Amino acid sequence: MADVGYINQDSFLHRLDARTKLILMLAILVVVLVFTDPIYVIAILFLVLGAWKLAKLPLNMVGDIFKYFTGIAVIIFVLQAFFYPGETNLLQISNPIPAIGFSGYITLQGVMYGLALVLRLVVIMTVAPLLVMTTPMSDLMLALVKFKVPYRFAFILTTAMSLFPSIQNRAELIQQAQLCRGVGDFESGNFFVRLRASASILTPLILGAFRDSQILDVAMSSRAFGAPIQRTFLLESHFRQADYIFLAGSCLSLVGAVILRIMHLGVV
Amino acid sequence: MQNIIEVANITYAYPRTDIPALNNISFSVPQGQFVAIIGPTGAGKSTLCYCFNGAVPRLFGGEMSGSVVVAGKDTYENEIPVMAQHVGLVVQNARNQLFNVNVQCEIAFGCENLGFPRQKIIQNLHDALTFVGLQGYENRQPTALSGGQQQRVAIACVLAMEPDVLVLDEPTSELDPIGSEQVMETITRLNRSLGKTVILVSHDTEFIAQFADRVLVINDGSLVLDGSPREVFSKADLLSSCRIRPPQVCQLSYELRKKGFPITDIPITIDEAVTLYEGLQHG
Ligand SMILES: Nc1ncnc2c1ncn2[C@@H]1O[C@H](COP(=O)(O)OP(=O)(O)OP(=O)(O)O)[C@@H](O)[C@H]1O
Ligand SMILES: [Mg+2]
Repeated sequence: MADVGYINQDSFLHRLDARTKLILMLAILVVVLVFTDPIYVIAILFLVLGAWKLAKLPLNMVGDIFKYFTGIAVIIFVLQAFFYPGETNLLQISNPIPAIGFSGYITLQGVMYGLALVLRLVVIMTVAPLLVMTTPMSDLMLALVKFKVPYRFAFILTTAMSLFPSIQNRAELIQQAQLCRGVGDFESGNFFVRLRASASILTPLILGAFRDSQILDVAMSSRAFGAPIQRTFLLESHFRQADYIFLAGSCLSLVGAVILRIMHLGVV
Repeated sequence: MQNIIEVANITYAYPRTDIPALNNISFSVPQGQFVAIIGPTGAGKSTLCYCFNGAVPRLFGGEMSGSVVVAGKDTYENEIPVMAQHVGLVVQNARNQLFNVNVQCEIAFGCENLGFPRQKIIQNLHDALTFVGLQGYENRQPTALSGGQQQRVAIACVLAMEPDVLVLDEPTSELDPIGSEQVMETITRLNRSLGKTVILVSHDTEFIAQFADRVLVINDGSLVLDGSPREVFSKADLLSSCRIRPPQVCQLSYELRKKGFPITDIPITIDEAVTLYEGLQHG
C-alpha cells in the first residue's frame, strides 16, 4: 500500500470535526453502495477526487492506489461480466455451462455491473485515505470514543493504524537485510523462490512484533492503561458551523439516494 | 525515615525457564534515596525493574515468591495501573514506550488513564515538559525525536503521573555523550529538586559514583553487594568478577595501589582523586 498517514495541511477537510468526517465517509459509502449504475458511481468518484484536490492531498497517490488495485479489479470485473445474469446479450463466448451458472453470453448488464462494482471499490479505497490523511489519529480516536466505541478498542484501532508505516519500514529493512545475506530474490524468481523469500521476512517481523508487543504491554500498563478509573481526555472536540452544514449535507444525500433508488434510478 | 520500597526475598523465574532470573533478593529504600543498580548483561536488572510495579509476574507470567511493597501497596494485591500511581517505570528501550501521535498526547496519556481533571492534565503536561527541557515540542511526533529527547519525553510521561518513585532502566545506553548528559542531568534533578525516589539501572559508573546515594550490584540474579558508591567501588576484585567496569579514577587507583602506592581509601570521583594525589605528592 502507499504510505497513508496524516498530512499536515490547512483545508476545509482538515478543519472539520473528526466525527463529521466519519459520518460523511459513511454517507458516501452507503450512497455508493445504493447505486449499481456506473455513471452514478463515477459521479461520486469525481466528488471524492474533488475533495482530495480541495484538501490539498497529493493526487498522485490516487495513481498509486490504482496501481495496487488493478489486479483485483480485473478479476472482479471479469467474474461479474461473465456471470451476472443479464438480458441484453453482447457477445457469445462459449456454449452455456449450466453447472457453473454461465449462459455463454457476456451481457450488457454484466459489464455495467462489473464496472460499477470495480468503481465502488475505487471509491471506497479513495475515501478512506481522505479521512486518515486529514485527521490526526488522536482526533479520530476521540471521535470514536464520542460515538461510544469503547476506549480500549478505539485506542488499539488507531494505534495499530498509526504504527502501520513503522511496521512497513521494518519489513523493508528486514527485506534488505535478507537480500544482503543472499536470502531469496523478492522481485523475480519463480513462485516458490518468492514464497520462501517472503517467509524470510515474515518470521523476524512476527517475532520482533511479538517481543515489542510484550514490552509495549509493559509500557502501556505502566502508564495506567486499563486502570479501573473513569478516563478523562486532554483533547476536546467541538462542532462548528461547517460541521453542521456537512452533517446536513450527508443526511440529505442519504435521503436523496434512497428516493432515487425507490424511483429505480441509478440501478442497472 | 519511612521506607517507600520494601523488597523481601523475591525469587522469580520466567515461564519455561529453569534458572531463576532473580534469586532471593531483599532490600528496602527510604523515601528520597537515589539508588543505582549495576550488573553485567543478563544479570536480572530489567527483571528487577519490572517487579516494582508488578509487571513481573503479572504480564510475564512465571513463578514468583517473596513480596514487593511500594508506598504501602503490595504488587500481589494491586494491579499494574494502581501501582503506576506510585511507581513510574521507564523501560529499557524508549522507542517502545512512545506510541502516541505526538508528544502532548504521549505525556497526557498516563494522566488521562488515571482520570486526572483536564486542568490538572494541562498543568502537569506543562510542568513535565518544562522539567525535561522540551517546551515547544508538544506537537512533534515522539518517534521522530532524537534518542535523548525520546528518553526525556519518556521521563516526562511518568513524571506527569506524579509518582513517588521513578524506575529508569538504562536510559542512556543508546545515547551519544551529549544526549546522555542531558538525560542524566534530568534524572539528578528528579531526585535533588523534586525529592523523588529514583532507581536507576546504568552502566555509567562515573555518573553513579558522583550522584547516587547507594549502589546495588546484581549478578546472576542475586544481590551481591549493597552499599554506598564508595564501599562498592572500593571492591575491585568483586567488581571485576562480576564483569563491572568501575569508574576510571578507581581503576587507576587500584593499579597504583598494586604498584605499592599508599592508597587506603579509593577515590571515586575526579575531585577526590586530585586531593588524594596532591597529598601523595607532598607527603
Ligand atoms: N521475557 C523473558 N522470557 C524468558 N527469559 C527472559 C525474559 N527476559 C529476560 N529473560 C532472561 O532473564 C535473565 C535476566 O534478564 P534481564 O533482562 O533482567 O537482564 P539485564 O540485567 O537487564 O540485562 P541487560 O543489561 O542486557 O539489559 C536473562 O538470562 C534473560 O535471558
Ligand atoms: Mg536490561
